[in-house]
Amino acid sequence: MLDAILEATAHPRKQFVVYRGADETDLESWFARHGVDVTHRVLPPGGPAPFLAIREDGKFTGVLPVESVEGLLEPPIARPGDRSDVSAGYRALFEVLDETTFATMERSELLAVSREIEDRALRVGRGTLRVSFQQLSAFEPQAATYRYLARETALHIHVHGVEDWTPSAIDGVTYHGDDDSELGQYWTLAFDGGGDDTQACALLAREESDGYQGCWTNDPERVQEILSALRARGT
Amino acid sequence: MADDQEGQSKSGETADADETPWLADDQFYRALASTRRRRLLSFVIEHSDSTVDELATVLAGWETTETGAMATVEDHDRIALELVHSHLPLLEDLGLVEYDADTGVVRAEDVDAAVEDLITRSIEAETSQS
Repeated sequence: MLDAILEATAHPRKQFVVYRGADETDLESWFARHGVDVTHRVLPPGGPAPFLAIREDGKFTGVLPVESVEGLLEPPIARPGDRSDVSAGYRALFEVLDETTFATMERSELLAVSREIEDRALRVGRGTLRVSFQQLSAFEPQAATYRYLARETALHIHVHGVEDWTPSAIDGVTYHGDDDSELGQYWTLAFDGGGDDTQACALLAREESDGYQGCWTNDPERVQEILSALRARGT
Repeated sequence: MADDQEGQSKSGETADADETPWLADDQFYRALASTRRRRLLSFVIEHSDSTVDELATVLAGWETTETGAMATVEDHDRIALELVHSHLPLLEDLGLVEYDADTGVVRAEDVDAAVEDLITRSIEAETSQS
């Protein structure tokens, strides 16, 4: 289940081309930092402002000014709640803008992203936060953080992991021991936003021989998928 | 552009007409009497490996920089149809582009510097206007 979600986040079907003058746009470096493949084509001298072409499965999906895309990246990030009535181009774009995929990531970087998600849950103070640190024993160094989270907020906190250790009980925290090896590969946090979709976020990372690969996402639908996958594991 | 006029009178009108037969051809000006065709020409002069699909993308994208809105698949397909049925045959007849209907590849024919310069300047004039 988590494997399938991870595969869907790689966006292998999408291609992006920036049409521009000689200078690289900020959008291209943003894409590069967020693991999105992008190429460029140079416009004639005296040509228009840069624009971004989006293709899916090799077919034209949409094109819009780079300036408009950059506007979508500036806070406050507002997205249509119901994506069924936006054009295919916007749908494809939102999927990519709301998700950052990475091929290799260190533990320290994952910890930083995890802190950010926990922080957001703390600020919102309500809703559901599900985490899985591979083995339950990996939760031990995090226990103080979660004790604080549970005490200061009305969050429903669920901690998942392969059962190799028995954590001490914390009010507001439910443990779900698992003997499934898939879960053991995953470092996952998902916060549903506590009723505010713009606050929903998740991290999904799978341990590989050379680090972690995966994504973090602000896409509320994707966050729900990850929450459901974890909930389905809960015992 | 007073320099050009001077150069023309020095080198003689006949010589110029030989080098740039297009500049004395009414059909050439008809070909340029369309913003989309001028933009198309300026792009294929830069890129020798473009296609109808890409040109429709470029023209649609170019127009979004004026409107700010996303161009949809329908916008793209409408322009592609217009390219195939109207713009490309016209430019091909005049010998400005070469178009392969099977592969969709569009190439600029060799045009001399005066024609290229005219197209470039028309694009620059358009941008500075807005």
